[in-house]
Amino acid sequence: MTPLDALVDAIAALRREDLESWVREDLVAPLPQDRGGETRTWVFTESECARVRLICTLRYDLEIADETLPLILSLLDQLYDTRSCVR
Amino acid sequence: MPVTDPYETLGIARTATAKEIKAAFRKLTRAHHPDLHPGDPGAAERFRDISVAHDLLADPETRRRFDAGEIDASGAERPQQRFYRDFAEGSGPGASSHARQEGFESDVDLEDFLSGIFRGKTGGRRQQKEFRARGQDARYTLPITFLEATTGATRTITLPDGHALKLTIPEGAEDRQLLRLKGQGMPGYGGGPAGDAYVELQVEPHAFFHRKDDNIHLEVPVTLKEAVLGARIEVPTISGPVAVTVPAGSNTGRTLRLREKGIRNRKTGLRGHQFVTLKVVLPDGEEPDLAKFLEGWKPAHTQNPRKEMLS
Repeated sequence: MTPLDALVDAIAALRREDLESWVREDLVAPLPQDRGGETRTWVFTESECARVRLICTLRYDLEIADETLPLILSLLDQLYDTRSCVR
Repeated sequence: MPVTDPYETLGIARTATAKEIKAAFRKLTRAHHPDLHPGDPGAAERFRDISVAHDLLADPETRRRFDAGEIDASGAERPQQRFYRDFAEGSGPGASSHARQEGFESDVDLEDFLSGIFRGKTGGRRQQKEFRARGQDARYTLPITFLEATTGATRTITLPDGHALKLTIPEGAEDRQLLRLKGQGMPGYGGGPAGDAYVELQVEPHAFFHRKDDNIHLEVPVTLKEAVLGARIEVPTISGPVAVTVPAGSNTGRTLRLREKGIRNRKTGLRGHQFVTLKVVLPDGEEPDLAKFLEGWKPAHTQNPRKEMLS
């Protein structure tokens, strides 16, 4: 389990506001974590961390546009889902 | 991992521009990224080599150092990365499916059909399961002085959560050495065990002492008189000053070995040595007597120290 801050620190290219917008758009689904009172943050499972790295590769290295990113991801998700079904 | 030439890995010329490096990396990422090629078992390793090569060449400084032969291709080695595909298809506790929640379900119920045959359905993406996980490992860096590293020390460090920990720095600790504190990482979730804390030591350089393996190197200035006539001088070591005999006629660059005044090797138990390199210095102020003596001085041997340079 990796808190949002630690994940932003761990991936050099990753910008915090990008990650937050991916969470808002449901491209990644971290678990909410209440830290008492009003401060609310997110923690990422190992699987979600790997997904964030993949999105970083798509977004920063392959320079896929923000608008196209969800499409690519949903196609990938369908690919994975189908693969896990037929396996 | 075999160390291969990063230029070769990326398929570019040694003269490639930053733009060409980036373009080559993008092309290879498309072709080899394991998450984009879930059925290709060799992709992870190929992509790791590609990433290592790119890490090395994308930074002008590391690229310059590689070109100059200062670092080899393994200089940019990265830790094993777990790719998304390792999770996306599995059925273990971390398995998840992003597809189902996004309105892309196929009308043909192939999925239900197949899963009915093969096994139970995998958990849907949004389903919040009973969660039990080991806490995250924490990483800290701790700067220590050169002498703390050579002789060992105990330090009390305060972790971000406020609790203090006594840390034993082993004798002969090296720069970037990792100390593992079991169970001192982040707390677990749902009753899982805590992670470990890793403390990376950063050894600050010393003004006089330099370390090479288990040996200590030190340059010691001696006066002209001490060098010519010989003397007994006091020299610092990592375990305190010791008396050393400078033989008569010692020139700059002469190295004396102080046996077992270096760092104790934790594996063999043997101590390294300290090497003292002498450096002759002229007097600070004016020395009219010395100057007068040298004017009238007839050397016993004629000497031209630049002979080899000018022949």
